Amino acid sequence: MEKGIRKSIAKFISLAIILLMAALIIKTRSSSDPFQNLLKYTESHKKTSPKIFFVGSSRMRMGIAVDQLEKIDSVRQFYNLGNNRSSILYNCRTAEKLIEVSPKNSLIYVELSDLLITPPNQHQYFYSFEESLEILKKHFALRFSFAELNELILQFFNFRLEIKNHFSDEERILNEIEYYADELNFHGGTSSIITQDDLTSTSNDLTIFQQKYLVMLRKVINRGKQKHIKVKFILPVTIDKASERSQTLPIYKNIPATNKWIYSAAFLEKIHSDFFLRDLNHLNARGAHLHTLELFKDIIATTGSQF
Amino acid sequence: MVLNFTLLFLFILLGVTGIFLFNEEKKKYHVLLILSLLFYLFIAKIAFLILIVFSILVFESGKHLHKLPGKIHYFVIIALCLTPLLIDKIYLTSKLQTSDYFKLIGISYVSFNGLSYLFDIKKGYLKPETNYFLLLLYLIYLPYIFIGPLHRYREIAGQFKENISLNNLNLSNGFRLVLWGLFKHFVLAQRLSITVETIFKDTGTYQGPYVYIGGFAFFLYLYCDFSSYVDIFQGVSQIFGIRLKSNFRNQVYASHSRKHFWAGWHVTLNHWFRDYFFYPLSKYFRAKWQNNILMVLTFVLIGLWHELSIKFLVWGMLNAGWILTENRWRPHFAFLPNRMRESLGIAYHIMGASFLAIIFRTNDLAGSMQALFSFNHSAAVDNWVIAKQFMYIIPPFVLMDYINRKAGEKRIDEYIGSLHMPVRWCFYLSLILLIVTMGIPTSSDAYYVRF
Repeated sequence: MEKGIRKSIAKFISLAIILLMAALIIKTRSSSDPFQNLLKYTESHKKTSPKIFFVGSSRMRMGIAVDQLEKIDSVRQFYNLGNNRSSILYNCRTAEKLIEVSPKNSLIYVELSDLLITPPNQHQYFYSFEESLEILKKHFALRFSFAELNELILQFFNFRLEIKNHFSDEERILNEIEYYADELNFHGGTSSIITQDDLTSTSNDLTIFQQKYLVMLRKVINRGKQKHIKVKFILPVTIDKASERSQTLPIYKNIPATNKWIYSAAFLEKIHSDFFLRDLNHLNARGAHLHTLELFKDIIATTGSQF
Repeated sequence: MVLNFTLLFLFILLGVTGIFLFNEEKKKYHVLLILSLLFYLFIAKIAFLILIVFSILVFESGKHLHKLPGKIHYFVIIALCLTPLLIDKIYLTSKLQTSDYFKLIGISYVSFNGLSYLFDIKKGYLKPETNYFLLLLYLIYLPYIFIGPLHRYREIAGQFKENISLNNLNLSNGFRLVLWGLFKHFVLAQRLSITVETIFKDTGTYQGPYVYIGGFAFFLYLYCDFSSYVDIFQGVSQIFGIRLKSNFRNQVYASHSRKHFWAGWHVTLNHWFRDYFFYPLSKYFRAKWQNNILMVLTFVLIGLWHELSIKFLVWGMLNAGWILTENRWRPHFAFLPNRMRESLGIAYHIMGASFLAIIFRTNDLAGSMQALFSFNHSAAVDNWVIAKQFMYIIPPFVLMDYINRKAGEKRIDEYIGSLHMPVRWCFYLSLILLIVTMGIPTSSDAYYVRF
């Protein structure tokens, strides 16, 4: 091998190592127990201990108006822990952690979102680096694809969010893990909204991957049962990606009826308008209002039967 | 997703290792052939077989082209070669492509490369290849199978036999192009894509001028996205010592007329249609009006190459109409000083190109036209979504434009190579910093992969 190439390769490897080290330093920065810090924040924020949690992605974050729930019901405490770009494995991990720290008879709603490998935006408040690695291991046990590995690598070498967080104060960052009302109105159709027909026409048959996915959800349900905490799964009312629809709907159908929120036909018909959408994947404030009112019926039905 | 950067870097890694370990100078192309076959098989699954059958058809036809008894046999061969492409365009794109086990990727480029090989033999420019594996590599070479550029056999086969080697210059130039492509892709194309999607997905809100802004953003997006992938693939190929053709003139987005634009946009496809359709037929269309009709036909075919649809038929016709109108009116503007004519020309071209970009991008031609010419004030957005995106886009775009301008006719890797070492390294570090801090870390397929 000629000397020039060796030099070039050495330069390239040095650059790659520097970049890798920078990514490792930036990406693995978190406090000793970030989740406890988050809980402390939410407690101090609400002044009382939590009781009913909503765990999910930005769809959960923008779809459940906890302030509205608090107005209707001043006894129970509601926490929207929707975290942008979160996905089911991360949601389940958060639910497991909430099960460990929440009082008996708490209720945890978990969004049944897509199975993505990349960590949610504010992951540093939910999971330590070791936990993130655990989730990745779990993900690859469920499914492996080069496309997902690619996504993970791209996100690992991107520091945009960390830089943005660095220049924001903590309260502002934590506000990103709370209900967010968006008044924007989408006018581009309703193709992403789930219909009654979607729910009835979906087959009950599961692929091997979907079966594994379901087993994982059952584990979370059972862990909750041991601690007297009810876990219920929510199918997002808007699913834009066709692949997510085909993957999630059969799983949702196979979850026991007592562990999922079942939309009424009348609600699905009522919300089927882009008047309630912020964009194809998110509800706006009006949509969140309607969605929350409907969810409250389920909360009453669930807590009434359980407690 | 068909293309992904992890696979591409794996391809580079295996290619470099393979070439390093393979001692026979003249047969190093075997390494690239095996890797291209394996990677294509991995991506295309069952559709891989169609490509193999196609390559055998082209190889055997090439050998017997001069011995054919009549023209009818020749046309039958050409029709057979076009069959996979036509079936794909008419039927498979919407049906079978959804299957995980059948992904007929890059068939447009494979078919056109195969056809150009046969046409060149027929014209006597080329002798039929006797080595099937060399022809197979020409058809399936991974760095250009997904989004081109198209190549003539005589331009590339010699490089496969003679040029494959690892040396300092190839490695440096290759990685320079890859870095430049990654910058354009993550910092510019992905950000522009957000703007485009926001506007085109919400046609009820974003109407009138917003649709036009969407068209403008799409025009820039298409350049950044397509050319970034071409740069990356050129870089990958350069690492192995194979120099791929350029598909874009630097600063093609700042063309001062439609004719000037087409001389620097998707150059290899245009040259293909020019050399194998326009020139051969122009001897039958000698009068000026006949020649104009032939040009309209050529542009219609370029449009339909993208997709067999009314939308692209209209797009092709509008392109031809624009050039013909320009040719007619250009003399009337001769009185303007050159500089002024060019500056005004750039503004005028961007305005027209943004309109054509709307047609190119839309999934609902009538709906988009209606949205363009109407403006619902009650639905209009009073937020900064679009403006904010442009605030992020403008600084890196200015940087890209500056480099493109400085590079002039040179390829970017050569221009960067000509800079002094400290400047060069500052440039590398700036690009890396921009990618990791301003890039959008999601990857989507190049827009042109669908064609």
